[in-house]
Amino acid sequence: MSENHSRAPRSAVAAFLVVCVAVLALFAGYFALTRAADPSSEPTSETDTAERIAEVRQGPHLVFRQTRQDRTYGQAVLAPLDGPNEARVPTSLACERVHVAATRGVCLQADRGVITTYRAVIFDEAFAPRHEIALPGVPSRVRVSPDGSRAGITVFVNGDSYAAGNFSTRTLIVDTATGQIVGNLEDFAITRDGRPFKAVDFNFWGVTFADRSRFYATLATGGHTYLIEGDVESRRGRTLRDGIECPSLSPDRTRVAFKKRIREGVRLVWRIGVLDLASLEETLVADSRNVDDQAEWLDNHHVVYGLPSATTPGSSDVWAAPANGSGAPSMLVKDAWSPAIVRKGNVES
Amino acid sequence: MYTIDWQQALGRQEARASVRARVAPVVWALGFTSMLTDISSEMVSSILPAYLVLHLRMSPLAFGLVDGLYQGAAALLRVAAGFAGDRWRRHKAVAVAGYALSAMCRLALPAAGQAWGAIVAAVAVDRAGKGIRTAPRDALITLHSAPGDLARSFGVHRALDAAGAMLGPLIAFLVLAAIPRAYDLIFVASFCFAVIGLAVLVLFVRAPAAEDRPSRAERPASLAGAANLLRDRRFRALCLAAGVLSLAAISDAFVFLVLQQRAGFGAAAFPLAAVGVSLVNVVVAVPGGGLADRFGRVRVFLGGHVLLLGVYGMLLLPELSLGHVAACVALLGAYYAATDGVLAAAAGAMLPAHLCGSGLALVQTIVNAGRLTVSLVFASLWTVAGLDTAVMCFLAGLPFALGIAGILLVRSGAYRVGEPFQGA
Repeated sequence: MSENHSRAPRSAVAAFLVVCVAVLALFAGYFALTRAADPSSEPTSETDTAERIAEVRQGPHLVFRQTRQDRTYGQAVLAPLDGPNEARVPTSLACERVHVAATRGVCLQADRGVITTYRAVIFDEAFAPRHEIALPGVPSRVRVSPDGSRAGITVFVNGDSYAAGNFSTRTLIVDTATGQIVGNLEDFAITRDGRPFKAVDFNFWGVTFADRSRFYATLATGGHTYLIEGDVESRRGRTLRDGIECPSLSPDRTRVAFKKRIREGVRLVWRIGVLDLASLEETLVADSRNVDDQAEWLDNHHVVYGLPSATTPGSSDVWAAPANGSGAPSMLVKDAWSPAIVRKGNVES
Repeated sequence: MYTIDWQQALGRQEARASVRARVAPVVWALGFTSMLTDISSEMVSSILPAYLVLHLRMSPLAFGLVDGLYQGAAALLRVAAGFAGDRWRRHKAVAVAGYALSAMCRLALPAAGQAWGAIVAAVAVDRAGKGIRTAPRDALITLHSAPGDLARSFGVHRALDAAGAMLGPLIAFLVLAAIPRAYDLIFVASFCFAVIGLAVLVLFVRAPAAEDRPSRAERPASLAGAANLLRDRRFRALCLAAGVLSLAAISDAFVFLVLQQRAGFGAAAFPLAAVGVSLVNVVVAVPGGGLADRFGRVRVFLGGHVLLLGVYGMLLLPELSLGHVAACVALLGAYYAATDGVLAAAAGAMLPAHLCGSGLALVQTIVNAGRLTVSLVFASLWTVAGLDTAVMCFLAGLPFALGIAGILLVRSGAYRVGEPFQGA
């Protein structure tokens, strides 16, 4: 070069130091500002938690993931159905998704580290862990069968992808009594229109149980998303209808709530729909927002689902809407995700 | 200072000088810029799936849908930016624009909140920034390096770059371990690293002044001139050879996937294997570059692909031990060290200074297009014919590709460019 300087000029070094100090000040300032303003965590007395859990469990209640920005964020909590925003009982389980039925529940956990690992924790009535199962990917969906004996777990497995950003899924059926995996839906014999149906790009997700063996789920292949009906005991399944994702069976088992994929310009959005299993008639619920959740039934006439909070990143709220497409959505639980509705009547039927 | 040095003497005695003395300060500065930028981008990308899927509750399926579009757009931008640097003789300014664009995205991402469109836009602009900065940056390395030490210079740059890619996820992990859910802190810290990287570029990388290269004033870069680059027998041969070889290289994501199936290591160990490859790359890139300067870049580039044969061979073994996995990781790391920077050096050595950015962009784009294609081909082969057959096809195809590349490079005389005493 024309000038001979192997060293940078002093002015450049000085300017660099100024930039470093400024950047450090920015980071420290941001840290001080946001962390000082952290909402004070609500104290919970842990001694009487067991009693409070038992108390809430006596009536109709919800179990969900707390997304309120305080110390209990991410924990599975219980709340009575008639006042879910007031009296919440936190448990010691931190879950990405949680579901309960009868005397068992399953909590999908993320163990964050350099290598984040995932596991499913099976817990009992007192929310005490019974079994742990290592999961092969990021938790997506979980449902426990009405009798509490089995659970269907879906995870995203990015190791199967062709290009980064392309995910595939794996869906496992577990026995909650033994903590063993009793089936992988990819191994089930599937039929379409009575003929064997198999392809390498099969992806399954979103199990919902009718009883301890019969279930519904999604099978995605070749651009289609089929609603399938399957049976854990015989390890079989058959496609019922295309265009149905993440089914959720109504308490009376006559309908499934599901996610319907709709293209809006360049983006894909999901709306919640309800399919009548007898007439195969589809109805969209009256909520035009993009819902990416496996719906749950509040009762035979209302579906509930989670939506990211419009105001707080990382928080979400649970909304309810009439299943027949009438009316308007209303917020059921603030700062909640992955709701499970427990009514005595549903469970024992 | 080096311009004067190399024009006067490029004696063999200089080969013994230390790396530090032989690699221009500007190259070190560019290396640190890349390292800081990679720390910044990798700390975000390592948490992005968790942030989007677990924190914001977005569906990865929705997100993956538009992903392929960006790759094509980034390739177009890369060529355009390479040419713009040549045309305006402002490689540094174009590179600064690219780095600055990506730095801005660090803050745009958390600001986007849950707005799907805004998140996609932030990721897209970040990729655009990456596309813009690559070719002008490599042009700066080429223009600031002594031709006899070009591969070593690229080795230093790529080693620092790979080091950043390893440090980024580690820093992100430490932040999240100390303060759970502190995604906002990761974004702010990432922005800070990006700004420091940008400051290194702006303050310590001198733009090669136009008078340094008298030839440039006479021959302004034109589109026709850039297109004419492919008329050059040697450069055309290098482009073709790099393209053919990129079509025979299974992406490391797939290699890990095969290893995972064969050796039965968990999906959780995936990032570890990637870290291992980067680590070997960091260690081998500089001596690999030195080797290339000494014995010819094209030879080392071809030799790097021979290492891949070893990887493919191991993938076909019925039983894989942990030792095999480690060997595969080491070979992959050495393959990158012997090919990535060395190819840029081989290209840089045969490109006229006034079209350096365009030419480097062209080679990189060809290689990237090859990589994208090969991923789709391998995935389809795997789906249709099974894993063993797919790997076998590539094991058989690689020597074939090496043969074609070898013939192209020898017949055009490209393999002789950049050998000691033959610097362009």
